[in-house]
Amino acid sequence: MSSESAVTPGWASEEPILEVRNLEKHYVKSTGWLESFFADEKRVRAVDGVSLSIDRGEIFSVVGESGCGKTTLGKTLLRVIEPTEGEIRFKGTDLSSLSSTEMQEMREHVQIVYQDPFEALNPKRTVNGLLRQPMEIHDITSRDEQRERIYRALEDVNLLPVEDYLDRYPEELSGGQLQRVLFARALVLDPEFIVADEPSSMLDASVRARVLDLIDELRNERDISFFIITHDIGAARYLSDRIGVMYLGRIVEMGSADGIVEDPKHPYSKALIESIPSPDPREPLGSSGIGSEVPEPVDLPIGCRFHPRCPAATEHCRRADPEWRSVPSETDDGRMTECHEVEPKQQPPE
Amino acid sequence: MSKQTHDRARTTEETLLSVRNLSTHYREGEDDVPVRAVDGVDLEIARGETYGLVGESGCGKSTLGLSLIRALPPQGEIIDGEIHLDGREIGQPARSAVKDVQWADISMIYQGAQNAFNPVKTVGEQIREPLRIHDVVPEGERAGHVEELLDKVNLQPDITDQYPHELSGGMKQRAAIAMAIACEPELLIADEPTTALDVIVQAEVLNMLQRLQEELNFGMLVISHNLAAIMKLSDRVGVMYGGELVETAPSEVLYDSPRHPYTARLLRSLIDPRRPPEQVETIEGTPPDLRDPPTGCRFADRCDLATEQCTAEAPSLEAMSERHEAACFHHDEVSEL
Repeated sequence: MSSESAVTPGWASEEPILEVRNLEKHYVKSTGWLESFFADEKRVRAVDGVSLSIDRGEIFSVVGESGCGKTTLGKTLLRVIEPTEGEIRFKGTDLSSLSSTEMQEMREHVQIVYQDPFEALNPKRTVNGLLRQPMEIHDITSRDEQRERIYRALEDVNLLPVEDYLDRYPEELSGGQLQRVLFARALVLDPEFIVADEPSSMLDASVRARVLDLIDELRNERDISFFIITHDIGAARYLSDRIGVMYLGRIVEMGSADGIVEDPKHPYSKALIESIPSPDPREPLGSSGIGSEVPEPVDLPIGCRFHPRCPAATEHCRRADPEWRSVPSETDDGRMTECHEVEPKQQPPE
Repeated sequence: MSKQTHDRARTTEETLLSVRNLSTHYREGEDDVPVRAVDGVDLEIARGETYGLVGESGCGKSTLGLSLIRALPPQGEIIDGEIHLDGREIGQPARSAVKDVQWADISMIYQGAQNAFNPVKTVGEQIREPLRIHDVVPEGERAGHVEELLDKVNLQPDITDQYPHELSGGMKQRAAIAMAIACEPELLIADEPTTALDVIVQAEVLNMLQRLQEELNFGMLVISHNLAAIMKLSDRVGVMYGGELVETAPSEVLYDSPRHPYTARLLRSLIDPRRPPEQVETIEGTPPDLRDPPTGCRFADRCDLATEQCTAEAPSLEAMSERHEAACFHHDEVSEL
């Protein structure tokens, strides 16, 4: 999958479906009221200046440790959480300029699929009821239309025969089936863009691949673009065209899925990939070499935000912010990263 | 201790844990049909050995762990079998005696241990708890002992005064490990020790368990659906399906030449990100209903090799080679799957 798409990058040919410029989401960290008189409020920079663009039919994954801001980024993209700053364009429309009613209408085209099916689905509703609910919110009230969309969605997620599933309750379904109901619930609105938060990580290996293949099928058959949030780098590579690596609110490296895993440039991407265990029992257990404590993005260090954990950090990294720039890579996958220690791409001679 | 030295250790040292024909059932009410969560399992673990137990959700692997430490929920009951630890029968004591075994002889890192701490007690109080119950360290020395334990799991001594919510997921997992080794148990059970942790913390926890075992030489039972991590950590691996152990072998042997079709399919559902397969496999179908498991092989309806014999009679574990057993009539054909 990813290897094919690296050869014919369908996502590079058309105008982007989603474009984000300098997106920021800050929270004010709660301090006691007394303290707040004496100290400046502390700002948590969950998303701290992210720019990216996703093309029609592309599957883009963002990976990183818990707390790196990837889930906040995904929610901010669709204004489930309001951004503090920055621009989000969906097919050219600036989402941040939309009123809440207009944004509500826009949600028909942009959907989010949450991580935990056990939490996201109301246990008291049948599959049929769960799938009808989003349509009622969006004024798709014709029973025939509803029925048609429900059938098509359940067929597309391969819950067949459809009649066997319509009257079932969440507790009567397996984890893999529930995950597919969650996707069907997004599909009844016929979206063009889906943000999926950890779509495979709650599942057993034996059914995980089925969900990954499902996402690929939906991309191919319904031309849906995906933004996947995951800590499962194996799944990200198998499924995506491109991967962005996120650290403390910023994308620190971006490139093709194969390129990022085979030939990571940023020391953080390297550490992340080093720590994945290979299944071969003869190979030693991996280790990240950077410790596991992610600093909170409150008092960000001066200089590169990764320098306190970075094995390659120099004096320069402690003083100056690295620049986001193109760097050479083995596969020439348009790699971008922000690291002082990675040599930038040479400009071709005039 | 490396895996090689484990191998030597096993041939010279005695069996630590021996489980014979263990069956644990769940029953909601008196008249309900019981769920046969664990159904006649045999298992042996040597001192200093790591045994990994894998299988899909609902296959009985966690129930097996909870049976060993006698921490089953009220609906669960060991209905048959013997459990010996270091030659002593520990399967049958009355519930009041359970506390004698827990922590001191067998301890467990429970699934979701990060969330199992009591939110209103400090981390230090909770780690001291097993020391107090078993009185293994005089009261005056407990605080110092807790600091030593924290040091073993790379935590700063100042977290003793913190509350669980002040710690990250990885720190809580390490605190749970400190608590589990507090009384120097002979057997440590770790139920999904890395699930819900991201790769960097996962690698750290796995390395830590391996190092602690080298230092303290406990036997370890690691239960997980993360087959890649389990094969790395374990000397031997057992595969459970539908309440039964269907294959057991040294990790390398299991990885290279599985002899049960279920193991073979599980291995092919793994994604090694560095060597991604063209197509990742799924195992179609669902595990059997353990209220009424099939008479024959429990995997038969999902198996490409199944024949009439498989639906008529149940295969039992057979020796494939030294230390390798599989329960499949068609074990010779598995390599052709």
